[in-house]
Amino acid sequence: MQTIDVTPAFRDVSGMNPAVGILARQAVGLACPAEEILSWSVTRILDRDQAGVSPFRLLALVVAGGCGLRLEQAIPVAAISRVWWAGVETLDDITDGEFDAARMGMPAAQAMVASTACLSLIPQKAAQFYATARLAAAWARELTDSSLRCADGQLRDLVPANGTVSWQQAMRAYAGKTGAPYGRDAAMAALTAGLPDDQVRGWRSFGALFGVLRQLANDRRGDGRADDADLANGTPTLLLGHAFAQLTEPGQDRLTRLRQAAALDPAQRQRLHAQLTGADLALGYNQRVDAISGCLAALLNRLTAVSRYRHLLHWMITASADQAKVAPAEPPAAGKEVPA
Amino acid sequence: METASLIDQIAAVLDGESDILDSVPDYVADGAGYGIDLDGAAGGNYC
Repeated sequence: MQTIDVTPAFRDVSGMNPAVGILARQAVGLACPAEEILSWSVTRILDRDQAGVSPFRLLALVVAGGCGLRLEQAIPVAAISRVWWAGVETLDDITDGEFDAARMGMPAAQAMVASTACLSLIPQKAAQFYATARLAAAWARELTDSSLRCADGQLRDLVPANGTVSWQQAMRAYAGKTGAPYGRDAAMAALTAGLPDDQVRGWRSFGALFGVLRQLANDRRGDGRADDADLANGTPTLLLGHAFAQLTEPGQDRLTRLRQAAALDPAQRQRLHAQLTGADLALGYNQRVDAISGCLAALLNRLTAVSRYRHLLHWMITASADQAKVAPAEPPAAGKEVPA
Repeated sequence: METASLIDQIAAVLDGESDILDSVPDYVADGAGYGIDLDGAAGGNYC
């Protein structure tokens, strides 16, 4: 099989990271010219943002390249996205009890106010500085709609860990909390390229499903760790939704009890993880990851002609799918079977 | 499958109404893989 080297395109996109960071800070300054404490707090949050440099967060630039734009033309979209994500990540840390006041240099209450401004006010105002009135209005609709869908998705995560999880329930949460912002970035890039509504819709759809894939990759970050936040918080993940769909009623009951116990006990979390990543469940789950990847690849080839950036988007899909797949757990040693 | 139909199908998947396993179009891979000659290019598992 031919392997296409996407390194040059990747370097071009990654090389935009400093410019995106500078423009994000500039956007904060423009949006908050007299609000000194707010401006300082948001800038501090941006300074501490570790996920911002993830290549996948630069989706807007790659989509712009695929739409025929120069990468520089989409830097404002990527910068607005960075401000938004920095706010979400901080709020997420506060919600999950992972906020580090010493590292952030501010108490959680201050970060909460600053993060909230990142989600709507600063992006909306920044859009007015970096786009024509017509484009800014279109960006504003994307920002508003996606933030509402994200908020709804986040709320769907906050359910008690005392029941079953359906695939539909988890998918709706994922599509909101992570799909919507990625869909927004892809759509804003397509709008910047002046594409017609049907093609913007296509890119929004691509971004949304890609965002779900990124959430699946993110789900694997705590695998095997006693402090796995998703298992501790009872987050309704797609892996849980898949497991419940495969089990008979007695198995579902056992999984429900184990899920409740895992919320309180690190040892039970490791048992739950071992059950969810058993060979049978892992195989079916990974087939679903492959199906998402296949859908994305098919849609991508319909949305844009062959180019170095389309190649890079294909790499982003396959790399994300690789990160998202479950590594099947080793079967328990004889005599040490995990109690159901 | 038309592009519009595929987009509708993905919308149904994202709404949890369609099973992703039933929604993959007849995608014919272009016979290529995609590689990057940089260690750790994919970075961490950030969403």
